[in-house]
Amino acid sequence: MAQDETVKSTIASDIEIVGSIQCASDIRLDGKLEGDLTCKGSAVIGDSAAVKGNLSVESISIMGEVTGNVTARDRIELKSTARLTGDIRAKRLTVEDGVTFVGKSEVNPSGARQGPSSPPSGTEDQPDREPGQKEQDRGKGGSGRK
Amino acid sequence: MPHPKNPNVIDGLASIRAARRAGETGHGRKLKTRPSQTRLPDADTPPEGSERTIASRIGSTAVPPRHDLLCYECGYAFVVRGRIQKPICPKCHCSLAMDDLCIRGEWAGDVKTIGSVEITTDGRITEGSIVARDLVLEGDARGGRLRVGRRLELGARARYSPRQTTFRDMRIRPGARITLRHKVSCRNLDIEGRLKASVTCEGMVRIKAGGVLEGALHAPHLEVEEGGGLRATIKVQPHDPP
Repeated sequence: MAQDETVKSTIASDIEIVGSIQCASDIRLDGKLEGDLTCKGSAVIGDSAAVKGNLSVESISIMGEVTGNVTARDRIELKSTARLTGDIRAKRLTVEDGVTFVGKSEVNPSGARQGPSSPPSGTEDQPDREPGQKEQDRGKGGSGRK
Repeated sequence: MPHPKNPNVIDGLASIRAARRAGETGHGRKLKTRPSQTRLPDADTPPEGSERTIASRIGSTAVPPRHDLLCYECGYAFVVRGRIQKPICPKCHCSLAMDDLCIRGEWAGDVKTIGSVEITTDGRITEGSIVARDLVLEGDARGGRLRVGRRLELGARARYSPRQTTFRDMRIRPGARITLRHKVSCRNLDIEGRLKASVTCEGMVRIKAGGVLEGALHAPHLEVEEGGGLRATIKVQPHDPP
């Protein structure tokens, strides 16, 4: 994840932008953004930042407030102060305790697509059986107990 | 220095006082003191480059282990420190069994213990009830009633009847692929395998590396480690007050 020294563009905390941002390099956002952010590098949403819009980045670290969908080609980090309302999609995800997050998540580190056509899980709990519907080969005793 | 009342007894404190007095008045040889060449660090300041904290120093002291026990007869929760030998419930005064059991093969009967019970992959509960503090379920327990005081661990081939099972914490073991059709409610949930369910937790949900949660999640606290998967509808915020 981008550190402060590698961030090239910075939106300071006293800046408010209404509109979209397109950035070819890394960006740090501490101000307010009402619009979409598209970034080919990594993005840092600071503690004081507030974003209303969709974010599409390579990787992102969120510490502030985001209302919108977040799509990362690599990874999303939700720090403990993050407040996110929206859907997320990424290859990797890290969530710290204390996060507020309401939305859908699509994170699959293995990369395999999971859909309705995916094979059924190996274990399923069966619905409760009716009394008296138990199996015939029941036997009492602790044959297997140590 | 003899004791003032009993000359056969040497009083240590009086001896020290006498020695100090002799040093001050010049009657005896005065002890020469000089400051230490190496200055010791302050007690509360860890040495440079060391990550030792006060907490780690405290943790190194010998503290007797703490056991949170739950009486399986009356449901009273109590704490025992140190080694447990024959625990007795302080409320109902019944003697509690604390055996750790392993069930292999078919089993029909009642088990009550404040220890842990493991049902192996070839274990099968056909009847009766199992009351334990921790239960590791790798086999089939659909025929029995399970009352787990603390944590239920589900393995790769775990099967249980949700209507006959109560537990507080749940852990999905590594390699397990669990699909639960009913709504799961628990206090804490640790996921190291794959779980497909609709989950409501009162405490912490931890998705470890290699763990995947699919379905729905409502919990006040969520931690996802690097490598954990999450494909769900999520609501992570404190529960609404009643």
